[in-house]
Amino acid sequence: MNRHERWPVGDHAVLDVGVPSGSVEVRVGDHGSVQAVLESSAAEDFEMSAAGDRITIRHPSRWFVRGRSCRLMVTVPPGTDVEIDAASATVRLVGVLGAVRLRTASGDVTFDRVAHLDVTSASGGVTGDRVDGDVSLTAISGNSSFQRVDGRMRASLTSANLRVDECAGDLTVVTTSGTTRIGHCGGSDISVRSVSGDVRLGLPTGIRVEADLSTVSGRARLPEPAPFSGERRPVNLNVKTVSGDIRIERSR
Amino acid sequence: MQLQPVLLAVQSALSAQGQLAGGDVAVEAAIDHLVQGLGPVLRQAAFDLAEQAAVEVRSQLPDRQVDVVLLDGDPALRITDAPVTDADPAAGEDLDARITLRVTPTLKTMIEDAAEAAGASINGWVLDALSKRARKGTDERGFRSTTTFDL
Repeated sequence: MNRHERWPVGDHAVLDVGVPSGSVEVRVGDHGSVQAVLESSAAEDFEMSAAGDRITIRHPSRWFVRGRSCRLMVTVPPGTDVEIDAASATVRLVGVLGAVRLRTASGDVTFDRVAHLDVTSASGGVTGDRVDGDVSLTAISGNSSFQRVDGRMRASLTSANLRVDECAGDLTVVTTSGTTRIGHCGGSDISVRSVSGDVRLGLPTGIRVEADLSTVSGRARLPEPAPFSGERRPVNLNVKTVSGDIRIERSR
Repeated sequence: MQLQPVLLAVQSALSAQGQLAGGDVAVEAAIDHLVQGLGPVLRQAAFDLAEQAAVEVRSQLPDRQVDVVLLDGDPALRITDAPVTDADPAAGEDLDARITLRVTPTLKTMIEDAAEAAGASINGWVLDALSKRARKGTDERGFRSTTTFDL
């Protein structure tokens, strides 16, 4: 059974989604309205409502046999904030969205561009193009990959690998065994702590690095330093591992 | 260690079994209370596992001190240098060999201050530092540096 709903909204819409399993696709459309299509064997059991500019689409019970798996497609105005709780649903975010908060146990997440990103994931992977602001990422085993993060990035990982092509802000990563690879880190405060995961960081030229680096049994590889010359932007670099290798290199 | 995703995964797995309720609201509520009540138990279990992990890591890193500490409410392993002692790393041997070192007054002062800060004798501190360096031999693994450089 399918349900189609449409709500008029203002400039600062918020979408609140809670589904046990299945798939969720949020796609940016025109200003002024939110449209939802829900495909589920128990679509009539879902709460689909609006309170002001806040749209709520939630399964009423985590326990119902019927309708646990669903396919939800929502079209929202550009810049809409999105909050999704999904046990095992895959989540796809298409277009430019506002702040996004995701809580998922096993579903993979993909996105194009969001203002801020806050993700807690057990085993789902997170893949995205661009975050205009800050990223907060907590994951056990799902690998995460971002092309560009303009704000600060904080990641707490267990065995999940993290790859960021470019992080313009400060960086804090705590990981157990996942590898951390940051192609270019433009922040002024960079901290990575790892037990067995390898760490590879690219730093820009023209900076003065105040480094505190240590690995108990891993290998460390640093770039040839440039000759000291005048004032440079200071960067605090703190990388500590137990057995993970450390590699610092020039990014550009 | 991040407990929240672990709790989330366990609760999610249990939630999948909630279909046993068959739509009975009372049974659903009971299962919900049960799942929520597991939170503190799982947290305690995580602390126990962290302590076991510390023991295992400690056994593999004899020259390090491994502690379980709380970071933002989650258990974490903190690995630091083992306390400096006068113990001879070559256990069983007597300290009857001598090396006479010529050092700068500044370095001598630094060594004296470091030994005092560590609560060790100068001989014990120097012995510990040399032993650690010598044990590494030609192995390139392991690195520690606090430095400033330009790129």
